[in-house]
Amino acid sequence: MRVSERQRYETATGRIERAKLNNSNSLNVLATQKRINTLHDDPIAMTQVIKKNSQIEENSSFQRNINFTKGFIETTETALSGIGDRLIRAKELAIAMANDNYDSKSRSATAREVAEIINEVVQLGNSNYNNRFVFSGFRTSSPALSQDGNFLGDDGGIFLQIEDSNYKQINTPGRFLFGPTPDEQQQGHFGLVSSLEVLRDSLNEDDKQGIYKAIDELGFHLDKVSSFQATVGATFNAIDQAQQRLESGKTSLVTRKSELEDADMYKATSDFKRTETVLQSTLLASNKLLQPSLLNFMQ
Amino acid sequence: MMHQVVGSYLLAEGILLFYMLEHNYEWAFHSLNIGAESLYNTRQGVDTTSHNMANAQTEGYSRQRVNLTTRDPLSKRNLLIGNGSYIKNITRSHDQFVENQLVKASSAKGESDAAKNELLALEEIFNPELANSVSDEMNSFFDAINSLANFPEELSTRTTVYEQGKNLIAAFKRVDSEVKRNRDGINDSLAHMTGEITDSLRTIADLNIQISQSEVGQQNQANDLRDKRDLLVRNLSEKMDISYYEDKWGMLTIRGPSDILMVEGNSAVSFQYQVNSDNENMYDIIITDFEGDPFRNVTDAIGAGSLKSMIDVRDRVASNLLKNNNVMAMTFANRFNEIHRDGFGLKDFRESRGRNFFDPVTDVDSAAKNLQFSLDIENSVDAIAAASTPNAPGDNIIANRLLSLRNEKMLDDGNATFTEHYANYVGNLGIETVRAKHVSEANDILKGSLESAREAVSGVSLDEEAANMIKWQTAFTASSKVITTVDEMLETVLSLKR
Repeated sequence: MRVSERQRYETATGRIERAKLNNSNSLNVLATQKRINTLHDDPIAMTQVIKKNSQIEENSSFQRNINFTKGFIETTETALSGIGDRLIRAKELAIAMANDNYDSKSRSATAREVAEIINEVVQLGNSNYNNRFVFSGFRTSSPALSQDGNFLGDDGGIFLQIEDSNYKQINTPGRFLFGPTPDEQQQGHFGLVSSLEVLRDSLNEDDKQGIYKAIDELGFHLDKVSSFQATVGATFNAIDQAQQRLESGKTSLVTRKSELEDADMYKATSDFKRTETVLQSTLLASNKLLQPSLLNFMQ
Repeated sequence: MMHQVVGSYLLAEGILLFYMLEHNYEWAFHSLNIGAESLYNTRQGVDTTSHNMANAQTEGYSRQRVNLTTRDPLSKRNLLIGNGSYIKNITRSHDQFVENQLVKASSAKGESDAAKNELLALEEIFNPELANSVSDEMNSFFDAINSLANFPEELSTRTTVYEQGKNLIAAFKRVDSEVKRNRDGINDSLAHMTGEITDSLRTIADLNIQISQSEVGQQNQANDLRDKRDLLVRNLSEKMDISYYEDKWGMLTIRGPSDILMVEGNSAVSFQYQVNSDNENMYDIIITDFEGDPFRNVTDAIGAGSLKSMIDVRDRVASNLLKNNNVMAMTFANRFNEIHRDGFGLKDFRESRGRNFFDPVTDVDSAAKNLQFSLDIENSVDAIAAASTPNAPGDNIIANRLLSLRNEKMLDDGNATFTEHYANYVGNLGIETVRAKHVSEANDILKGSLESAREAVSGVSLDEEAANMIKWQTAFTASSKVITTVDEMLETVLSLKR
């Protein structure tokens, strides 16, 4: 076959171009450490990456939700155990003061301590996390309890998504905690703060029957507080487990995404070396190929 | 007797000399003629060689050959005397079969190259390395909604929702305007190409006339003119589907899309563009008749070449991208509003509901372009509705419902979430680009091998030309020698008589 000049030049330039292109492609992979740098590098994997990105983002927001939720629940837990402690203390005082050994003077002195306990309980009931009052239902920007223990919040349950289609209620309904609910009222129960107030007033008035009544009520509320504590603890455990699931889910998502789009560094490096060698030898060969001509030998 | 003999001998000698002189002259001039013509022939050989060498790298050039033929012999005294040679013609090395293949391959390559280039440009808009793609901004926006669900009463989370919403709107608009910019670019190139095509058709028609005039009544071929015309035809075939044949006067008749007559003799149609108001003011391509009056709209009739794929990318691919973007913007905005209207805001908006988040989208064709916040949201972030009940700053029920849109299959008739839909249509663009790239690479190889085949026949080899030059030069020297030799011989004859 005849080989013409243009054929030779075009073959040479074509080869050099191809070698350069391969070389710069593998340089690109090496520099970005990614297998997929444009859509057409692997469109199928690219769509997977887009979906994975969205899932990873969602996973991170669930985790952020959980971190936030944990703080909120811990605040609730602290408040509940504080209230529980105060109720126990009040009940101890009430049982002691129900004893005939004490006179009205020591009872009114104790009443002052109970009044202090009431203040503390109201303060605990108005616990906040990041300026959000945890027992106020949806009315999170105003305190749950007034100074005399009236519930000011509403019945809103704050739900947060901690997993795909898994919403958890993170707040403890203040109205049920501080009560009384209509049912309880029917059964003759007082609210939590009212019970303490009954104790305080009975101590002030030296009313032993009132103290007995208060002891019963405090017992009732202690039970309620500990059952709420149990609920909160269970929620905490549930979201803790969800968090662990999310963590491992995220690891596998990130791994999968990396498998899809990240370059195999050993392969990328050796590809680069290989294409570089090809480019150099092509340049060398082309230089030699294009040089000799009969014209060089005609003198 | 002796005298007589000597006398008659002398006479005979004189007659012989006369005879010889007479015929020697004829013989001498004959050789001079042959030598002179040979000088001319060999000089032409060197000329053609230098012409070949000068065009060694000219695109579309076919190497030329000087074809020598022996002159018919002279008949003298029952002898057939050789009469030298003359240049019969100068021909180009040309293979019409390869040329036809090449024209077809050019059409295919023009088509796939244009498709590849335009798709690569469009693909850049959705480059995964860009951080502000619609999908990324959507993720960030939902992230902001998630913060809103965590802290519905906070000003900062509301501001984040507002800012991320703005970014999301900008991302929709960016896709819209970038795709449109690309589409307008293609449209302008099309308009530009109609001018180029008209010029080439006109030039081909002019060459038709020049070729038929140069070749009339001669054995010669107008080599260089034909090379030029072949190249024009090949370049034309890169742009569209053509068929052609040569008539007996050497003129090319070319038919274009839908077999429309484009060049006949020295007449050529022209290509024009005109605005089509039914296709978003994109250009239609119109072929005029030989008189220049509009004849056919061939926008959708072009069957191959770069015109075809440019029109395809402009009218199908780009429109499809715009449509997907618009549908996503509209569906999302309206669905988001639907839920948002159920909710209550903060402060001044704590007891009122029914507000839109985005300005309601009614026209799907301009959804992305006109997407914006509703006036309420634009004026105050307190208008963002997170609460399902009035006066409830901690209520995040609406925020949670908005958040659930992330996984709601709201697109493709309820078959795809927002992210899935985005990934699908962008993925389809990627697949189309890959296909165009592969086809283009295949056509590269095909056309490359055909070009190689053409070059093998028609291309100039400098080594070969160098050898030819030596050949002609040697022949030239030899012819010169013939002339000097004859000259010397004549000298000898003339010196007989002192």
